[in-house]
Amino acid sequence: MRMCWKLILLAVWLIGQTLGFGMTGICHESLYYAQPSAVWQQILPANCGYDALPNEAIRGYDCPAHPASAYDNPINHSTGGEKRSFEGIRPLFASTAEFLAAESGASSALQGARLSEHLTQLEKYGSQGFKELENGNIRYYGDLKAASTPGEMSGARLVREWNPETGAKRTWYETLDHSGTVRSVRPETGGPKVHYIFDANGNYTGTR
Amino acid sequence: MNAPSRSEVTEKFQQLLQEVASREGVATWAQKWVIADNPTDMEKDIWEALQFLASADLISTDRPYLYSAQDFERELAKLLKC
Repeated sequence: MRMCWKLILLAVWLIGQTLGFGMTGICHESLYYAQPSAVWQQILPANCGYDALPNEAIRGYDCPAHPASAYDNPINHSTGGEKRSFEGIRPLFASTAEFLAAESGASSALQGARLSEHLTQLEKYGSQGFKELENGNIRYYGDLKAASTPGEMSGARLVREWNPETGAKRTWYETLDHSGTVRSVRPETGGPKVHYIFDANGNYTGTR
Repeated sequence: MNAPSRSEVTEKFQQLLQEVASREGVATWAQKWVIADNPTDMEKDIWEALQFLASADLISTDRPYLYSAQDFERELAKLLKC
């Protein structure tokens, strides 16, 4: 009888997980980025590793379990396009040592190497600051270089992301419009240059 | 990978302005420093110029290219001022 109850509870839990009522159930985060993530998996090369970029950028903003994600993108997809600033980008050197030292199990030598690498990336790519992503990666933002020609776009900036665990880095340009919305992303891979274009509401419209 | 000299970078700007080199060619030339895993040590203004040159062929939604000759002149002036 006791075993039977355990099986029933296990079945209920499994159904709950399948339906998305698990640990993130109250914030419905998975609902926000499930579709965009699938879209990006279709439009981006499977081996280029950029799937996490737009996925991260369009995560739900009003999710109470992840308040830090509120600055991931200037557009709030969950409320239909509310503009958000990049207030979450950290000022230079904010909590750097604390963040890198917090890596549990890492030796002091490894922490030192990571800190050194972080400072190098920060100096080269983070003139406008950096932010720590939920997956542990650090994203560095360069200056927005304004375009002098009047038009829909205000300029572009270079962005680099670094994975402290693996050391992997990726680099891309973002073009922003005058409201600060990212309107195109061009990964810099050394291969063919592809611009992923978005409309003013952040919806993906295609490549050029 | 050695850093490009100031004169090399200056020449790339001038080639863009004189339209003797394509934006795509210049951007690809600059890209190798910008995407390097371990960035080459170089003077800050040269590094910033390379970052800009690598974006010379970015497109815009309402015109073929985001940046114009005026932007190239502005960035070249910054480089020459240092």
